[in-house]
Amino acid sequence: MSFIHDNFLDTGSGPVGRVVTSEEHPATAHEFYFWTSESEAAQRLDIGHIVAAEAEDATAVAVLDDPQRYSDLQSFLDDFYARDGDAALEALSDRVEILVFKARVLATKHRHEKKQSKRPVRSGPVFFATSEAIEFALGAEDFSGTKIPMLLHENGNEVDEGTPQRTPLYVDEEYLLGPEAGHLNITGMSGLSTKTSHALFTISSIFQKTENKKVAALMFNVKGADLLFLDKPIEAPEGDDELAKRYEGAGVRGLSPEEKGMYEALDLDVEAFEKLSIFAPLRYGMDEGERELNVSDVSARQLNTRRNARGEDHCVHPIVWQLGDVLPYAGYVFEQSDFDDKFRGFIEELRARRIDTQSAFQSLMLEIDDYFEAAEDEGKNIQNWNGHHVATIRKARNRFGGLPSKCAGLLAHGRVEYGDTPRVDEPFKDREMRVVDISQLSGVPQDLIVTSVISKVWDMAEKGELNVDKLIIFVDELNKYAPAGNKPSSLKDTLVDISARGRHLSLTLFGAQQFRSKVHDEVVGNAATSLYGRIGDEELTNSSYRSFSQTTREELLQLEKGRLLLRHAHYSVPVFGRFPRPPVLMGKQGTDIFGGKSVDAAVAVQSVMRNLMSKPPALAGIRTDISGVEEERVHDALDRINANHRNGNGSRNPYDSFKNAIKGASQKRNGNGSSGRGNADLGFLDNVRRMKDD
Amino acid sequence: MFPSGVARILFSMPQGSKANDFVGVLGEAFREASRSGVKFTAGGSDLEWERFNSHPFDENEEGRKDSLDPFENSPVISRDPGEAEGFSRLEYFLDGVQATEEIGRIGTVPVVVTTVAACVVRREEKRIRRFDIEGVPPLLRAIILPHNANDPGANALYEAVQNAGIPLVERDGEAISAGSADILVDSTYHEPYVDPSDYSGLRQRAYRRASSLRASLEEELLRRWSEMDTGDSWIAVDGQLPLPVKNAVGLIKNARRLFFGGEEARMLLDLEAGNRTTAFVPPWRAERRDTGRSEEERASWYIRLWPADAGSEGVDATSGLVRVESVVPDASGAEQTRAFDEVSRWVLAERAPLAKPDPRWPSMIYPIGYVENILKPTIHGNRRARLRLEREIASL
Repeated sequence: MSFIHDNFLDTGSGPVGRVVTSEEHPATAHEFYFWTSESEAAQRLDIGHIVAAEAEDATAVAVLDDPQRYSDLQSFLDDFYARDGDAALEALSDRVEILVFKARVLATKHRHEKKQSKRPVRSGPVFFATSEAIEFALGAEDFSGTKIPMLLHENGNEVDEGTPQRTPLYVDEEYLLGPEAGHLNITGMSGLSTKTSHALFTISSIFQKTENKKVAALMFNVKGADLLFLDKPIEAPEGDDELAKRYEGAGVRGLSPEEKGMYEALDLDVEAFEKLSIFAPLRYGMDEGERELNVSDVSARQLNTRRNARGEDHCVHPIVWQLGDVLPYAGYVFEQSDFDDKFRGFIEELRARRIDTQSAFQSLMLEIDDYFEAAEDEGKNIQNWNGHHVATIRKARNRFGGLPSKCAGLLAHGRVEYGDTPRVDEPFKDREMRVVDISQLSGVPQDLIVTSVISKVWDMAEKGELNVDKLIIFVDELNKYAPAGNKPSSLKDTLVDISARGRHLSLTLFGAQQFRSKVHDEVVGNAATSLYGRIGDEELTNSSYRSFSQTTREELLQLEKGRLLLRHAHYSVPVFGRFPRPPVLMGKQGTDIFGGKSVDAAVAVQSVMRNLMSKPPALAGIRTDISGVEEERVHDALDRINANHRNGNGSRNPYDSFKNAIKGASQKRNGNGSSGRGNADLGFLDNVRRMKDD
Repeated sequence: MFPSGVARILFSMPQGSKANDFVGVLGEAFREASRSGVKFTAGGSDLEWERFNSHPFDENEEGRKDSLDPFENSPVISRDPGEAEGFSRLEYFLDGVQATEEIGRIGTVPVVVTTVAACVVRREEKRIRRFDIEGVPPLLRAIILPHNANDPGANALYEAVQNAGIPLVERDGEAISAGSADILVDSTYHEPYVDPSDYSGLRQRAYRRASSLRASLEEELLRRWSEMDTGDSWIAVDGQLPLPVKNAVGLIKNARRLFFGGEEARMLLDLEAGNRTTAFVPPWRAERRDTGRSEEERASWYIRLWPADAGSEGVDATSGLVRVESVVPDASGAEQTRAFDEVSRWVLAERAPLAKPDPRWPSMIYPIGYVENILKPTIHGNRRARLRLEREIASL
């Protein structure tokens, strides 16, 4: 038997059924029905599988939906009577039953390349579709950009025994990242739908597959240590037994052979993010109230983050604000009941006077106090200063006094000097994964950081200052940051703007939420690609899902972890697929293996040296060198070595510097008593010593 | 609209391209006959609806009470064969179907076409599937004409059909070996002279010929099955048992006229569900046996599958009754009775699943209904072929 497109039909598995048409259920351009045969291959048919059947001059490729099993039993009572009500009675013959699937047409290919066809299929055999057919049906031929694998489709036919035919489900880069269309939206229940996991997987896929373009990503870590160890592979690196033991101790099992097979089928490498940078706010109480705070002197132990172990903090950088950074967001910070016109006016006065720091504010308050005192001394009854009533000024003093605790450490007292320290809102590097850790914050400071970072990124995009061709911003809890309804919010406005215009400005929003129906219409509506994981039944009743068949909705109610429904601009029908776990450590795994409490001093030393030297010393040698030295001394020495390197004063051999430090080389402590800061220039002294020896 | 005087044939032919071939060849024959002056008249009917069997006109009619041989018990009485054990040796099932239509007339002579089909199915692990038997065509299409009515028009068509390449088959058995699924048969083969103006009688003869053609297919299937190695499996045949095959039973659904009279008739109508009558040799079979045709002898008995009121409205007290035929067992007395009881229990075990939605379900077992279901689509309807023939006739 010959076919119009032999390469579209898996004839090796044989026909799996036959197209049927009737008056009630005709075959149309968009769907047809077929009954299934009893072959071994046909018994694997299931929802989401993809099949192919022919019209006169075309082949239709369709995805399965709505299975129904029919018999000619007209009433349940007939079966009851036949068995005389005895459920255990086995009839000698099985009543004929047929399993009928509805198949929703993805695409139809005419026998002549240049012709299009939408003709319904005719009565005839149905086969499993090959990977080639699936790729055609999902529009791969029409892609204008690179193919980005997003999920893996597993069909019912087997290429090897027990291994289903796997076909990557690609999305068009130019419809995901722009300019043709853009943005991705992921919906699903928390904890079950793996929204963040898939976002990471997709970003990794984009980083690997995008060619001739600089791409970076920005994510917000809102829970635990979920996104803090994205540079750590999910499999223990070979050759490091000690590390392998820690992986094993943390219960990290690596990728299963099946997951590895999935990566291979997707043509993706199992690799972590090389260029991870983490930004975390200062921890409350870590600011010592000085007039100036040098960000380069802040160690990761002073930040509000779980990635703070020595040796693992080279990629962690502070977010510290001064008052001038907070005032533009006064509407978020202060209670709405306080934020009246007078109060707003006083804040504008402060901004106009460039009162950028808490210390400057306090100085101004003293100045205003002096002004009122002087007036009182002169017997004048003055109630205003510069047009601001004294009550407003008192209120401001009172409310500003609470700012440091309200901002949970984010706000420093004095001027913040970043120097060369990386900033959360600086331009991006190619393939950079930038994570803003706000997991230890809640309420005002968390919202402040998100709003500020996204606004600044949007500004950079508008000015063409991102330094990358495409920036992906992942925002979870979109129903919180861009809710449906009319309640105004500048962050919501920014996110709507990004959704509407971002693709022309190199910005792509990857948004996720539990309740799609509760997110602003424009944000979800502008996403050309959508993913759906398990969804609750109350959410599914919403009109957002009315285009899905009843069968698809019921599938979504019980979708297993790792399986998602993908909708994309090129797909005429959404398709189910799976994805493997991201190739990185997530959540508690990272802290269990690389957290401060998991490592002894020797491992900490090695980790620090690994970041500073091309050939760090062996662990055994380090243990010998630090034997008998107090752990705190070891840590102090490491902190200072790190600080020197951050300041550009690192020695050529940091390990030698370290050994000298722990052997009791003199250390200068600067006036404010904190460790890891200031002028103890171990590196310089070592270099001097070396010159002397030379 | 067709020109007046030109045949407008009401025609319904089998499906598929092969049916189209038959239609094409017939069309050729009609044209040839028409050219020689034969005039056709439109109109016809489905002969299957007319139930010719319900009009007794020959000696094989069921219901004759005399010559019945109640050999298991005299008189015939009711008997409990025991509980159906959910076990049966019935593994094969055979049935045939036919579709017979008058497609037009040549004067008073009906032109009749039939399609007959038969097959065997086999049940394995509760699943019933077609069981192919080599050498027996699955389907035959025949045009039936009364050659011995000596009607010139009919005989002209008779010649034209043969000239068009459709072989004449005289005996039913020859149809199997004709090598062609499309044949011409003579409904008056056994009669030297038939009145050509006896329209009704000619229709009945055509119907009987169609039925015997179907029966010959079924008989040949049974013969070939009996020659195969099927172990100790049995076959159930729909209708009378045409051959004295040892591991075979015939199941007759329609008991319109009963063999019994008087008290035996009352006993039969009052037979309880799950019970059987004692066995007998039906009258006409006993007569044939007595004339030396021992191969015609059959043991027969009734089984009540379902209470008479289990069926739909309009059924009578015979509803739920099925008459069984088998060869008379070699054993006698109690052994014979045990054999009949055992077969009865097999048949009773076939009550589930119900043979619905067939209206005859109270007297039918599911596997026989299955055979009919897979055969009927092969013989019914081909509107496109009919329309094609209409267009061809219209162009004459």
